[in-house]
Amino acid sequence: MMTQEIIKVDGLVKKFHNLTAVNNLSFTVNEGDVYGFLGQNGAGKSTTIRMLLTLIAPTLGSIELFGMNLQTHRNEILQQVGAVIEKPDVYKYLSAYDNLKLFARLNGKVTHKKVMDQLEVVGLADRAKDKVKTFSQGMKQRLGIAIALIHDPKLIVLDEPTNGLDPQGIADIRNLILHLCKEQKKTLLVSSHLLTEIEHIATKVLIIDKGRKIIEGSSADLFDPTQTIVEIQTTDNAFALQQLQQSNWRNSLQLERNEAVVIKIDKQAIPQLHRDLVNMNLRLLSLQPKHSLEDYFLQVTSGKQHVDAFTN
Amino acid sequence: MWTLLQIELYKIFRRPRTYIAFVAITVLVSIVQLGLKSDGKEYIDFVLSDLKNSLSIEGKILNGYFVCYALLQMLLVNVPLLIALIAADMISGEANAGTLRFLLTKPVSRFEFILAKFLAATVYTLMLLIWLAILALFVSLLLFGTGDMIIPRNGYLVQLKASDVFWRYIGAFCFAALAMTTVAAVGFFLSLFAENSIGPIVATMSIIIVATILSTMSIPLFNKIKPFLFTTHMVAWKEFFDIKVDENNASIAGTVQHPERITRSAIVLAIHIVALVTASVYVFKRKDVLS
Repeated sequence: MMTQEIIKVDGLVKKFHNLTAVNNLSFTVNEGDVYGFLGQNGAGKSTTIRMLLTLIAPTLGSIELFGMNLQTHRNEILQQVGAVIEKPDVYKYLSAYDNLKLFARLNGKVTHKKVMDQLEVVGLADRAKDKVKTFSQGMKQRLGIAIALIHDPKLIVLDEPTNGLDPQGIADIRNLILHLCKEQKKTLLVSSHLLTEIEHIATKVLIIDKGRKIIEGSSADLFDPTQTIVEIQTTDNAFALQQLQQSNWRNSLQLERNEAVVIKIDKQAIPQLHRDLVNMNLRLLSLQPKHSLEDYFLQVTSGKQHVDAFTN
Repeated sequence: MWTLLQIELYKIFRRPRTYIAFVAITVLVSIVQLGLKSDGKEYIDFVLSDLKNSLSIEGKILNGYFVCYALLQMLLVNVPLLIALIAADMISGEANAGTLRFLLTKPVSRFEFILAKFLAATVYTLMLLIWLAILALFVSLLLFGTGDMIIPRNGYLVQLKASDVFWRYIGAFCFAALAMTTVAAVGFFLSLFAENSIGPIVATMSIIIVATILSTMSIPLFNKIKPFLFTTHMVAWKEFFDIKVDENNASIAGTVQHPERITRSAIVLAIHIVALVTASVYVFKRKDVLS
């Protein structure tokens, strides 16, 4: 059976005056994926997500959801999407019930039972009539997720869903994501700046930095302990990339960064790679295996500012 | 569209801030009514002081119709400020609260969304005017009774038979609704450019104050721009209370002295509304939601 492409992004660019927030980004999310969208704060995750939800217009590139062009089929597509972007801000002067009903009506008719059932799912049924201004951050987050889910969307987009939550709240969200994927067969795009958060739930991972794709692959591959990421630096990285693309290593290639070519291979294959690079007449400056994806993530996302977050 | 409008109205009328304007109008009207009830004769003497020497006026001048006119003169200058509180908050308030991005991820077109929001602001404006009408006209009629209406206008007195007044108030309130909707459109348009409510509210109030000053100052330079200022035309509701006279200087019931002024002002205000709403739709459809 063919897997349906739920999100297909091609050559996406977003510029704000002189700042390029998203730079030639392409990726595909298939049906049933929990797609982890990783990058440090300011990497371009939220901008990309906002473009997927039509909050921001792309400067260049195309976005297709469910096989339809987002620009021309906006409402049809958004009917099948539920999203929480950054903080789940709702109307503080309304109750949880009123908020949920209000937002649900934008997707169509909704019954009292449906609203209460959804509040039950996120554990807020007993606080249904309480005003949101009395809620904790975790409760607001659960209400936001209830709003995203009430119309039974096929695709759920969660932007930094665990921000500001305590450990129990984080665990609850993680379990909810797994439940939605495994039990309800939903497709999820979940962004985070925490690798540890994504590695437990994602089936595929995309890491971006400064708006550019750094690495993409299935979690099984990326988190495979027998595999390693190798960073190759030569005197001419563009030529090195060209040579590798024409070799047997082409399927292992990730992409060329400014200072290096990145390749993902079995640890045992490192000596062979070294021999092949020498045979290609490349002037090798360094060949550096990384111990883990986390190690690599820290380095490529210029994680200086956020090292603390990764070492939790 | 109907659902969107219902949702917007629901949000407006569930928010405590909405009722500030209703309370403010109630307090202002009550204070004026109380003052006139206790000491209205002196106020009448003051208003008619210029004409007292040349005219002898008998009868019950301080009646509900007169009080309502006095109230409208005082309040229709201040009501725009109360309207700005809500209209200038319509988009910026949602951006500030973070709910705008949530709303716009729903399958609702931006055109419908912005139109529903403006219509909701208009309904709020109309509700405020209806409340003002109830308090200023009907409560005044209850407190002060009816009678012929005598009002001073630019050096002469206009006398309207009691039976010839009520329809004029309907016309005046309808015109005021158009004028206040223009104010709402100004505030609404400005609310597109900010992510907090204070800026657009203050900007709307400032525009109204500056434009009102320009409209009332008689300086040749300003006279050229006056016809284009919405504040110049907002006061045309008063034209409903001027009446045509025949060759014997007797009032002709059911007439208005300068109906063309009302029509012209109504057209100018309507153009303002259409232009501002069109501009709002244009800007909002292209707006990147970053809040």
